[in-house]
Amino acid sequence: MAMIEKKYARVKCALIDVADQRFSLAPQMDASLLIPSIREAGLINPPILQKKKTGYRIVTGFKRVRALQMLKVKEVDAFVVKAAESDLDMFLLAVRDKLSTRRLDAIELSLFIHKLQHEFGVDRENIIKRYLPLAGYGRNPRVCELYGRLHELPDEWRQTVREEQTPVDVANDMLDRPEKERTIFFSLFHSLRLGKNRQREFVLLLSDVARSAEKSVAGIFESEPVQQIINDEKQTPSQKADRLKGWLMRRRYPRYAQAEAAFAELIKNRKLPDGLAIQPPPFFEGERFSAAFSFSTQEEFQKHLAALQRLMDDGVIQKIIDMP
Amino acid sequence: MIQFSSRQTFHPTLIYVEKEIRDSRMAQRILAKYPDLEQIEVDDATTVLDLAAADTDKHRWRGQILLARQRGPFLRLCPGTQKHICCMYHNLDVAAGCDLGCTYCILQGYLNNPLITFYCNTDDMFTELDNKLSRHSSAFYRIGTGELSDSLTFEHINELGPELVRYFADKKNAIIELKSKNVHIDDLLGLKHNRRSVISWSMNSAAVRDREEGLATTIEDRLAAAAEVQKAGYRLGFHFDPMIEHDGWQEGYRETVDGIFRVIKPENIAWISLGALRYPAPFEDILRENHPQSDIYLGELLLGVDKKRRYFKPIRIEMFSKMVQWIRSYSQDVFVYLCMESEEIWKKSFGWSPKNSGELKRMLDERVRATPGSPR
Repeated sequence: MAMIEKKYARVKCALIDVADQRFSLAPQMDASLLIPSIREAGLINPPILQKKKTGYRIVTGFKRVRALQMLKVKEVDAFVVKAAESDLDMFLLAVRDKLSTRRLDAIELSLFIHKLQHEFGVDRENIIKRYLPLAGYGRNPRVCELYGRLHELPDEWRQTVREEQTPVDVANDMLDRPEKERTIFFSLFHSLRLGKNRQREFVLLLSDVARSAEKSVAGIFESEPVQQIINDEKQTPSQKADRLKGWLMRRRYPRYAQAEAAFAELIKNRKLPDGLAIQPPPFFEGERFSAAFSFSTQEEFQKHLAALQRLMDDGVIQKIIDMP
Repeated sequence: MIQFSSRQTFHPTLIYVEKEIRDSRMAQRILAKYPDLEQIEVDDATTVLDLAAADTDKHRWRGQILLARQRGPFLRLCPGTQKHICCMYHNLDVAAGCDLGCTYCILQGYLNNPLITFYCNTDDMFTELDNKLSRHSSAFYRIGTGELSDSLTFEHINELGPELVRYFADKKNAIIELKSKNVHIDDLLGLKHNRRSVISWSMNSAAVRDREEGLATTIEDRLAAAAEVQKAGYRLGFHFDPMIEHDGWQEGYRETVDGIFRVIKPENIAWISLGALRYPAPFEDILRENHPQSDIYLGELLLGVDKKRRYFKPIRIEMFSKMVQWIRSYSQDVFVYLCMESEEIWKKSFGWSPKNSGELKRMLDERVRATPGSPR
């Protein structure tokens, strides 16, 4: 890319075509936030505009120009480049301008990849080799797969991806789901305030349970037990998430859940003193069960030992060892 | 050539050949078979491998093969899995990649590129085997080529089977096992093998074969091939691995066991191994992505001590116990063992367990160590 010649000039705002989004990475931007700053300090950084047959199109500064128009400012000082400059060079200039202050967010990266390929005719290999490193992502082909279509998500999802509340892999998974499922997951994530890992976990669990039951995700989500959990006003989002996970786990791993419940029942029936716990190995894999207790007096220590001895004498320890 | 209706015959579409092994016997043999195919000579195989590995469009490489030099050792001890009893098998890496496309194939996780590679420096391989077997003459080696590839599926291309069978025929302290889901046995039948080669098939229920085993041959064809190999005097092995829980699994596996004993004499069976579906946890993403139609990951697969997902213990125990029961209804003597399972699972499934990997190895060695006899 050769150095692009820019002339500093005063341009009439009315001649700037804000609808031309060819070089934009954020089509739905909120320009109103800039208004107080422009009112107080004026425009700090001039936009870059490209001369068109009639008027100008924006290369950088979409939000700034929009804010100026909202403020009914008549003219703006801007850098103007010639109409002859290539679209790809203009687009890269816009991206470089963004990168000079911060990394592209996931949706911007998605649009960057998409526009390079579909609007500026760059092939995939070159995107990976030349342009992903420019955006700070290295030459990783997986980036194209993971990010390439995120901009197709509906607004609310784009927002959560942008704010890094939804992990990219989950967002990507949503792309090919029916709208109804996307809405279900969106409301679930937000009503239960699920963090990134839990979002992944719930997407997998709900999808797997639905597939096992030969039902749709909506079918499971709208079932009575799930709705009861979600609409229980007495519980906090985190308690609801735990209960829902438990319900899903029982369906996803029925025999394991049964064994876990049987183990818990066996221990519960023995009414062990506080501070004494007996645990199976994780998922009952491995052969070692554990018994742990804490104490602060000799009497307490003695009480735990006696309780353990009773478990042994009553054959409970053997039952535990034989489980599941 | 014996007729098998489901025989899978892979035809390469392009051959990369590494310069330094172009003149090797195997490379010459393969190149001569496909004089009309595009052949690209490369100075260094790793450049092609890297290119293929980096390409996200793996389909582009389908059908292409690479003739390369094995840079590492050919022979490796199976790494087994921690805290489980392992049979201490040795893998002989003569090729990497497979054309059959089974959904559960762990190679999808191990191999990072779609090229099928044939290691052509077989002189180095035989030298390495000579050294190993002569230096450790008191040790016994069970060696197989079915770890990074299917042992017989490319037999029509590399014709390595007969070379291996002939090589091992006079070895006192080793046997070779050729393990497959294909039926390219024709070139093995007339050989003098001295029963130092075990020809094995990976077996499953017909339903699993239909749904999960891609282009692999039918169970009937595998059994028909086994019967031919038996006629030629070889010892046979059968590996029910991975067993997959599915609707009708009991009937399905029982039918396959019945099928084996209908055509194979128990005394010709070196061993039968059992293993339930298992994979390292991250492999599940590959499985879901590569085979969205498969639902095998929906089983109750839980994380074990070795960080692999396995069926919940009682499910495995039920599968293995039933299999032993069905096998024992035909023969008390056939040696049945578990692949990568704990002592507890052995005991609960079989009623006994080898003390450790060493003991299992000794028991398996005994099955094939005996002085070669005449074909039965």
